[in-house]
Amino acid sequence: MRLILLSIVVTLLQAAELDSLPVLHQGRIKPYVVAAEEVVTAITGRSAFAVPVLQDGQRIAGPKRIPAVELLTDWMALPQEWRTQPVAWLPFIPLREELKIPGQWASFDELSAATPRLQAAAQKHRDRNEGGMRTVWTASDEAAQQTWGRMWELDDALAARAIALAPAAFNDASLRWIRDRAVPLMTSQGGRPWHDKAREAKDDDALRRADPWLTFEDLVWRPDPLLAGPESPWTSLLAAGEGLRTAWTARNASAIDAAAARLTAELHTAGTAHAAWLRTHGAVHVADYPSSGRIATELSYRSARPFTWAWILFALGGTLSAIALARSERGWLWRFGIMATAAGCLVCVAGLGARLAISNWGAVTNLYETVVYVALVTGVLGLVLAWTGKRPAFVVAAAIGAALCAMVGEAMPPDLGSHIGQLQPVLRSKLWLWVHVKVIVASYAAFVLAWVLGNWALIRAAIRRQPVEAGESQAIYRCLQVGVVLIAAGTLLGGVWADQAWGRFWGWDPKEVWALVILLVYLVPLHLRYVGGVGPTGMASWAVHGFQSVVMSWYGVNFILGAGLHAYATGSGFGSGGQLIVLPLIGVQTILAVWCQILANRPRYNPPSTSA
Amino acid sequence: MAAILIASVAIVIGVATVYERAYGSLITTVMVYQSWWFAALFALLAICLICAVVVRLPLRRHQWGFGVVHLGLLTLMLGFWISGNQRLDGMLEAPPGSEAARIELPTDALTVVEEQQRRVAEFQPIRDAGYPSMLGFLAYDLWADVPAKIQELAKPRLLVDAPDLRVELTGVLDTGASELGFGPATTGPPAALVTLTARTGAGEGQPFARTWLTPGRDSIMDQGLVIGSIMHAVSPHMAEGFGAPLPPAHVDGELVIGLADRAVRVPAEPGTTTELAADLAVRIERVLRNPKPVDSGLEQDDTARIDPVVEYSIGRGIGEARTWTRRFAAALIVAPGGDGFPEVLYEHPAVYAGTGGQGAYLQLLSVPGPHARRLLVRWFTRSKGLSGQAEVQGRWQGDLAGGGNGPMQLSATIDWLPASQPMPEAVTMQAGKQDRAMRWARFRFTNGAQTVERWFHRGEIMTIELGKRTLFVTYRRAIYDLREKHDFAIRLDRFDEGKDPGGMRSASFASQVTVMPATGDPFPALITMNEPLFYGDVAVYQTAFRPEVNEQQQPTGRQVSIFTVATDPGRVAKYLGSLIFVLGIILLYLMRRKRTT
Repeated sequence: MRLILLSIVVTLLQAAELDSLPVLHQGRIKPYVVAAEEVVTAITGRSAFAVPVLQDGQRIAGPKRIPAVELLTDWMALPQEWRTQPVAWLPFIPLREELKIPGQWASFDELSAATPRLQAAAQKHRDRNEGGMRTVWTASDEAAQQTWGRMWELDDALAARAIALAPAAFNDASLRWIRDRAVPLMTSQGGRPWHDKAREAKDDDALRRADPWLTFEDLVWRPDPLLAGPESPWTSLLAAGEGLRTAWTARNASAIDAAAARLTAELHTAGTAHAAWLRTHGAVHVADYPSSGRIATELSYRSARPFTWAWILFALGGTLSAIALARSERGWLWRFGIMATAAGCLVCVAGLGARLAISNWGAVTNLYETVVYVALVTGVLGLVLAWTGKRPAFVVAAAIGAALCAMVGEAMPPDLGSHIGQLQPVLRSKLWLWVHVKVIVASYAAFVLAWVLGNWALIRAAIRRQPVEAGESQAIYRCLQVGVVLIAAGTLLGGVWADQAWGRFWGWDPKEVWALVILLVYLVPLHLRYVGGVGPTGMASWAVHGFQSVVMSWYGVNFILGAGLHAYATGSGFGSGGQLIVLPLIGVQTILAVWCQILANRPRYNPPSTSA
Repeated sequence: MAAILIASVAIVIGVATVYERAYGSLITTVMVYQSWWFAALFALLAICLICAVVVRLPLRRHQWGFGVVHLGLLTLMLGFWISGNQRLDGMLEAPPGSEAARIELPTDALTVVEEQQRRVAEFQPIRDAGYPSMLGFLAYDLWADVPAKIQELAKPRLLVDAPDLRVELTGVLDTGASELGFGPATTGPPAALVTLTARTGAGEGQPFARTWLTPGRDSIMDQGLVIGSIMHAVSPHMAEGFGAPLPPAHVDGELVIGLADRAVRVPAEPGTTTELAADLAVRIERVLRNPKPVDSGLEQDDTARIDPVVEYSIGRGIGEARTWTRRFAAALIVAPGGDGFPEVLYEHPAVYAGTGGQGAYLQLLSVPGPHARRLLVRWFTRSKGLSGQAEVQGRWQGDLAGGGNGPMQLSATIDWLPASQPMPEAVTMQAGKQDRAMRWARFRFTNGAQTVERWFHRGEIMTIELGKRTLFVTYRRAIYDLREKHDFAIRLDRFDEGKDPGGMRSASFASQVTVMPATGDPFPALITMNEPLFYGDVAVYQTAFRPEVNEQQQPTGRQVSIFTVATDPGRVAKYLGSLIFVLGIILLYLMRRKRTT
C-alpha cells in the first residue's frame, strides 16, 4: 500500500487545464486549483502537502510537496487507500497524546476511532454557543472540536463531495428529469448531497431555490446512476467526467489536459444555461457564470502573488530611502527608494483590482484586504505628504509602514481573507462598502504613518538624548490631522449606512465605539497642542501609544472582543492564537516608547549633561 | 478640560465594550449607555463645546472652521439626545399572508386580565437583575467569576397600584437554565439535584452536568452517559427491593417483582407465565446469562461481562383480552402507576447501549418515613450491573465506580429536598451570552390581606388564584402596535432569499409586502437589505428571516420575515450635524491655509 501511494505521489502531473477547471466551492465559482488549495489547506494545514511516510512507526523522508490539485484529485480517485494515510492536521500535542496519535497528522481511520471524544467536544461547543451556559471548555476541547470539523472535511474530500461542478437542474428538461425520474428512485434518507435537496423540494420553484449542484463524485469519480439514461440532460457532462476519470487513472498528462478542457466547456455551457434559466423564472440576484477571462484573472492573481511582491518592494524602498536619508543624499539611491515604494503601491492597486474583478465586490471586505489596503494608502499618503510637505522622512515612514502592513497580510492565515470569499448580504451595497469602509480604513493608514514616524522620532531622540525635533513633531501632527478627518468622515458615513441598513445611526456596536475611541484618542493631542499641553516628544509619544486604539479597533474588536454586528472577519484558529502575538507586541512597543521618552527627556532633569 | 473630558469618554466607552463582551449588548445599553452618569458625561462635554466657542466670541476668520465644527458636534449630540428619549426600535415578525403590526420591544410587560379588566405594566428589569455597574465590573467582575444568583429586590418595584390589586416585582433572575429548578419548602413534592463531576482529565473537579430530578421527570444527562430517574415509593416492598442486590437471573433464579402490597418472586424460566393478580401477569421471555448489547437489543455472548438479564413482558387484562407490553430487560420492581397500570421502574443499563445510552444508570427512590421523606440512591454500570447504594441525607457525594475497559471517571453529588417548591435556578452563563438568558421574574399579587407570590419566566401565561378571584397573568416582552400608534400594518406576500450558486449561502434578503393603511388603499412595497420602507415617520428594515413551522413544529417550506422597525425623531438633527461638521472641517482647512499663506 505504501509503495502504491508513493508511486502515486512522486509522479507529479502537470495538467494546466485541470487547474483552471471552473468549480463551485463555498458559494463561489473559482478555478479548481484555488478550491483545491483551500480544501487541502483546511485539512492538512498546508497548501502543498508532503505526505508523511512512516516506516516501523517512524516518519522517514517523504516525497516532495504535492500540489493541491494532484493531492485532492488522488484523494477522490483512491479514497480507500487515502483513508489510512495521515493527512488531517492535528497540531495540538495534548490532544494527540490523548488520542494516541503519533504524528502531527492523523488518518481518517484514526480520527474515526476517536469519534466519541471529538463528537463530545463538538456537541459541547454547540451547547455553549446555543444555550449560552457556562461550561468547562479546555484547549483540548477546542482542538478536538476543530479536528472534528477537519475530519468531516476530509470525509467530504475523500468522497469527492467537497467541490461541486455543475448545477443539477439547469433547464426545464433537467428539472423534469429530477422530479419525475430521479426523485422517485431516491432512497428516503441519505444518498448523495444533491439528493437531499431534490427530495425536500416540494415543487419546481422550491427546487430552483434549493439549487442543488453535482459534485466530482456525481459526474466524475462515481457517476450517479440517477443521472444516466437515454436523453439524459447530463449525457455530455457525464461523458466529459468519464473522460477525466479515464485519463487520470491512466496518469496521462496530455489526456488529462484534453479531458479537463472538454469538461470545462461542458461546465460553462451548463452554468451559463443555469443562470439564464433561473432569471427567466423570476429569481433575483443571480450571479453570472464566470467567463473564462475571469477564471484566467484569478489564476493570474494566484500565480503573480502581488502582495508578496508588494512587501518586498516596500521593504526595498524603505531600506534604500532610509540609507539615502541617513547619508543626506538625494541621488540614485533615494530615487530608487521612491520608485520601489511607488511600484509597491502600483502592485497593491493591481492586486486589489484583481480581487475586485474576481469577487465583484469592493475589494476591502475582510481583515486581509484591509491590511493590504492600508499598506497601499500608507505608501500613497506618505509619498504625497513627502511631495507636498517637502519632508523626505515621509517616504521612509511610508515604505516601512506599508512593508509592515503587507508583511502582516502575508503572514495571516488564509481563513482571515486571503482566500477570496463571499460577502454577507448586508455588506452587498457597493456604494457604502466603497465609501464607508475605504474612508475609515484609510484613516488607519494615516495613523500607521504617524506611528512609524513617532517611533522613528522617539528612537532618534533617545539616541541623541534630546527631545523630538519640532519638524518631526510637525510631520506627525500632519498625519494625525489627516487621520482624524478621515476617521471622523468615515464614522459619519458609517452612521448614514447603519441608518439605512440597520435602522439606527448609532448603536454603540463595539466597532462603532472603537472608531469613536480612535477619533477621541487622537483629538486629545490636537486639543492639548493649542494650550501647550503636549510638546514634540509628547506628540510623537501620543502617535505611538494612540496606535493601540487602532489595533484594538482593527484587530481586537473582532478577535479579542469577538462581538458585535461588524465582527464579520472573526476567524477560527487565529482569534485565540493571534492574541499571543499581538498582545506581547503591544507590550514591547509600549515599553520601548516609554523608555525612549524617558531617555529623550532625561536632559531636562540633568542640566550638566544638557549644557555639555 | 476638553482634553480630560474627551479622554474620559474614550476610556468609558472603551471599557464599555469589554463590559459588553461579558454581558452582551442589551445589558450594556441599559447599564452603561442609558445610565444617568453616561448622559451627564455627554452633557458636560456639550457644555464644554459651547464654552469653547463662547469664550472665543466674536470668532475671527481663521476660527470659523473651529466654530462650525463644534456647532456640528452640538447638533449631532442634540440629535442623539432627541433619539434617546423618543426613539422606537423593535422587531416585527411577519408570517407570510397575514397582517403584522405588533412589534416586540426590548422591555418587559406584565399583563393582568380579570373579567373585563385588563392592566398592562411595562418595565425594564435589567437594572434589578444584579448586573454590576461599570465600576463594580472593573473592580470585581472583570477578574472574578461571579456566579449567578436570584436577585431579591430590597424595595419591591410597584407595577400595578389599584385599590383592589397591587402587583409588585420582588425578584429577578437572568439564567442559562430554561427549565424550572426547585427550592426548599415545608410541603410539596420531593426533588433532587444531581451534579456529575469528572474525576480525571482536563476538566477534573469541574461539574459538567447537573439536573433536577423529581417524580415523573426522567432525565438523560450529558451525552447519554447517565440516565436518572426519581421514584416515589408507595410500597414498603419497593424500598426493601430497592435496597437489595439484583436477584440472580439465571435459569434457576428468580425475578423479584414488588407490587403495592407485596413482593412476588417469579421463577426465571423462559416461556413461563405467572399470574400476579386477577388481571395482571408476567411472562418470562428470555434469560441471557451473558448478555451483550447489539443494535437490535441484547444477545447471548459468552465473552460478555455484564450481569445476567431476564427479558419479560407484563400482561394486563383477563384471558384472551390480555395485552402484553413490550419486552423489558431484567426489571426488578413493578409498582402501580397513577392509573393502576404496572409501571416498570428499572431497566438494565445494557438495554440503552443500542440507543446511545451507556455508562452508568443512577436511580433514586424517595421513601416516606415517620418524620420526613428519605432518599435512597443506587447506581449501576454497564459492565458490573449494581455497583453501589446509599441513603442520602441532605447532600451525598460519591464516585460512580465500575466501568468496563477502565474505571469510570465520574463523581456524583446529590442535593436532596424532601419537600420542594418550583423556582428558577441560577445557572451562570458564558461571557457575552447574557442576552439569550431566560429571564425569570417573581411577582407579588396583593389584595388586602391576601397575597400570592409566583415566579414567571418570560413568555409564560399563568392563572393566579387570589382569594376567590382568578387572574390571568402574562409575562412577556412589551408590545408596540403599529396599527394603534401609526395607523398601518404590513402583510408579507413573499420572502425571497437570494443565494450564491449552490444555494448554501445567503446573498440577499428581500420581502415583497403590502402596506395596509388604516385609511386608504393598500399598496405593494419591496423591502431589502439596505433599502428600507419608509411610511410616515416609521422605517421598516429587512433584518433576518426564519423558517415558518406549523402547529406540530414541522417546517412549512415558507419563511417568516423579520424586520427592525424604528422611528428616529433625531434623524434630521443627526444628518444636519454631520453636514455642519464636514463643512466645518472644510472651513478649518481652507481658513487655516489662507492664514498661513
